[in-house]
Amino acid sequence: MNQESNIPTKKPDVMDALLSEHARLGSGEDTALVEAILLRTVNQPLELPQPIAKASFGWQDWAKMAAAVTLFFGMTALVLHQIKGGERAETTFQLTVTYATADNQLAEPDTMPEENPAPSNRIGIVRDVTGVVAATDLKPIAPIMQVAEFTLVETTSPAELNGTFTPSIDVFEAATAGRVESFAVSANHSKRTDSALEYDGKVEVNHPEFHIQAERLVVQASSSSTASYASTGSLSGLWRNH
Amino acid sequence: MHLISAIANDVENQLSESQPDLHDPAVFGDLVRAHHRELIVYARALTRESNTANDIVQEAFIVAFDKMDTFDVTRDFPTWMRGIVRNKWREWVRKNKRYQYSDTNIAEMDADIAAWQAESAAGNRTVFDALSSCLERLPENLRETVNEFYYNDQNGEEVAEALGVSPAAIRKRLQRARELLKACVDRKISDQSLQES
Repeated sequence: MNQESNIPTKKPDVMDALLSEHARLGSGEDTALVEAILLRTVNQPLELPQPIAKASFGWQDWAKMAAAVTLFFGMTALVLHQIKGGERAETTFQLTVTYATADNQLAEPDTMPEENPAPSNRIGIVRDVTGVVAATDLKPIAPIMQVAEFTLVETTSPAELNGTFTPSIDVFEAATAGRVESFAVSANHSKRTDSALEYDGKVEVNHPEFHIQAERLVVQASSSSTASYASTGSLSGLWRNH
Repeated sequence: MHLISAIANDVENQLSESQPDLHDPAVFGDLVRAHHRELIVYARALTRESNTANDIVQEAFIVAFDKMDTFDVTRDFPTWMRGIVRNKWREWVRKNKRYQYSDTNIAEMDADIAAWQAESAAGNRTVFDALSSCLERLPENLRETVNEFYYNDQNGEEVAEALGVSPAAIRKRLQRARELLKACVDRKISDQSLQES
């Protein structure tokens, strides 16, 4: 016995259906049904061939395309701006350092190796070293020879002095003695004005043999062909052993 | 030999002239308008559901349009359409498994619908027109019962309460009214056919 044999057998009542349909619409036609049938048969919307679709590229399409392009470049600029903002500014300087010292500050390092051979102790006595620096900015933005002046302030705690500062100051016999050094300056933000390069936020001055941290660094240019490099704020030197 | 060929061509031409060109959108539209109401009655009698009947008729016409190339020109269009509606109904029954009809009952109903479609296709009064006329001839108690049940869309209990009779009496009245109306409609359709011939 198949499943269909369980289905009850009835007698169709065509008059019941006829009366129901007559009550629904009378003698007229079912307009909605006819329209639905015709829309899905003889009145189906024709699909336009591709070339015609291309030819109908109107001003709305141009506007959409322009909006898309604008949005693309806007987003790109925004992303680049964010990336740029997130990157630390970094500039490498090649400096010719000419140290001019006051009093006997440069004499002390000469004597320290014998008294205290520990490198940290040797650095610890370097106080308020004032240098006059002639610098050549390797970057195209500052191609001229510049002279800078900077001050290195001793760190407050001897415990932080854990490196050596081998560009020994005592090699300079005269105030005009000079040597070439390379410094890499990096910071959260940098700005270039007509007279200076300004670095803000976790400024780091990296040298192969030492490392300086500061919150702000301004490199000022003079009206002549030289420029003075001045540290402002609390530029502190922290020598590290590289 | 030439005579046989000529006769064959003549028969073929007559067949092609008598059969509608389903590829012609106007012809297909006219066929839809001419036959959809009777086919709805047919599908409604089969399914006993108004919405399902409409869906089946719509799908049947779409199938006919898609398969018009397979249409057998030796058969008439209404017969072909009823066959498609039946197939759609059988698919529906297989899915719903509610009831089934005997082949005899289906054949009887098919004959009724065929006669109605023939009159409609001939441009004569439709079965709906005939029914309107027959309703006016019903006895008063049957007419008001039919009116309440079908045209005012009330169920048996509501009609019984409205007319102050038992639901069983309403069922009997409705059955009797349908028999009288069927006989009346058949007679009118038959008379119409006789007048044509």
